[in-house]
Amino acid sequence: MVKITKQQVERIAKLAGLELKKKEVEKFGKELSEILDYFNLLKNINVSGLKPTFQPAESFFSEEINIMREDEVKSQDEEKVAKMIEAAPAKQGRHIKVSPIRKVETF
Amino acid sequence: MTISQARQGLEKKEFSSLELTGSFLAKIKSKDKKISAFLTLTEDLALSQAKEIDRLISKGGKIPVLAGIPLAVKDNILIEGIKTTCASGILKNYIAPYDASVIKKLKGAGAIILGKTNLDEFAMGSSTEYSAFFPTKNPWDLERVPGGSSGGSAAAVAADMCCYALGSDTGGSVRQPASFCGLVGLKPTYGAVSRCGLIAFASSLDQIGCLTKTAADAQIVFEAIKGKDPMDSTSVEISETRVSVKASELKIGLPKEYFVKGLEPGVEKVVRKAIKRLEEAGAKIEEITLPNTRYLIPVYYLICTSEASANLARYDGVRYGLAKVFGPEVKRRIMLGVFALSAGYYDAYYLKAQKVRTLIIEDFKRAFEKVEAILTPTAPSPAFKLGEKKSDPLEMYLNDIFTVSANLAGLPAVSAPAGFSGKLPVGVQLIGRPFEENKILEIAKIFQKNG
Repeated sequence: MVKITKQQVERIAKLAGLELKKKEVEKFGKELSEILDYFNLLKNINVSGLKPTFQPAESFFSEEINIMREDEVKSQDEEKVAKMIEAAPAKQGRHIKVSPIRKVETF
Repeated sequence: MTISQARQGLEKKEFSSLELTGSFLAKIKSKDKKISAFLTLTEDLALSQAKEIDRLISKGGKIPVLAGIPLAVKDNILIEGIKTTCASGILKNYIAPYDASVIKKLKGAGAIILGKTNLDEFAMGSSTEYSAFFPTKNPWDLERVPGGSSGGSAAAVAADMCCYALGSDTGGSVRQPASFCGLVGLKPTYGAVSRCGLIAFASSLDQIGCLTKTAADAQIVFEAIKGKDPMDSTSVEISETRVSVKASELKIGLPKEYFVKGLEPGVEKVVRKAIKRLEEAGAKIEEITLPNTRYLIPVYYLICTSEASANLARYDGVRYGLAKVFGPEVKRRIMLGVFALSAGYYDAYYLKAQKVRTLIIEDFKRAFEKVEAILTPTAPSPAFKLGEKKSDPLEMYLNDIFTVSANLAGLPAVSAPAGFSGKLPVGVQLIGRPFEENKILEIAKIFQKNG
């Protein structure tokens, strides 16, 4: 039986950038335990020597999985650019304002 | 009204596109109060598009096959200048700055867009109950779900509030609602249709598909939206077009692992009847084995949640609203995905799932050496009641047991109506070889015609 502890739920939530209420921590702990317990079905299979398939085209019907193109700058329609910036919650001129992503931390 | 019927009416000048569009808009206004399929109506856009098509028709030129015919679009596909919410609180005020490639194609073909339809938040769900706004009801029985996540699109087509609709299918999100609402739902091959402008959920699984009233209509829509797009590097050019299929030359496989207990008896009866009709038409039916079927749900949910957790990291409040307002199912999936990708669990969960995916694909490769198409139920039951599974996530996940394999393997699959369990429609699924959308739709026509 898989048991996802309260501490694990809090750690996952932190990694995911999700803020959970106390009640949610409990609920998700129980649900994730149940789901992962079912997923443990995979424990029974031997996959040694098998290659993972990260996208279906790669092993089923296409040899070409890396589609390359020239790294060119293409100018975009000004109006479209303005609309995209407009959609952001905080902006200044042609820039999108961002809060600091991360303080310097040691791991 | 089907696409073919609308086309005929327009050609014979029985009605104008403006009249047709007006009558659908009126229908939406009277019917949708009870069904709640639409999140946004694009009345102005629809009426101006319709006037333009009428002008072209009156000039007497030849018009494209979808011109003047109204459709609805799932609200995770961008339409320029129109709100695109993904049924999420985060995007409730988001106005799309450009058209998705499929919308560009349809607009170019003269299609009339009536509005945007409801879905499970970020397309994560199988009932449309996880919409942040309201649940959609099944037009066949208002106490039941329309399926999901393209439930709004399915309900809109089933209630004849549009001729057809676009949806997206990551693990069955077009086919299962098609089954629940008595429609044809097509999920094309991975890469057959550009996903530029589809809000990403799980990038190795997502495909845009269509919900129509007939298999012939699905062929028309697929023809209009398929093809390579420089904006989606996974998209490919398809050479195969229409094929003629002779029932007597067909070999269809029934995977024994898909016909097990847990299947609702009414559903099993309908599926068996569809098989019998194909046999009577001359097709050879063969039992096949897809031995890794029992691993489908864990593999699918580990992969889709992992990919979702990466895709949804963009909702960090920088470009859109804040992630604080994610609904419970989205949070659950992000957490599952982050867990499966985290140090110490990556090998045992995510990587293992991707390796088992290889086995699942090999199962299909072997099967397609023997048969041309695979027939299965679309869902284990007909439409369930609102609230019936909402509180048990694992039970909701298990509802996807027959549909996720086509996404994991990237194969085309269609659900087509084949009968009823009680008063509720039941669909049968056909899975085809890569890029053989038209063939599986032709097979669907055979068992529908002999009904």
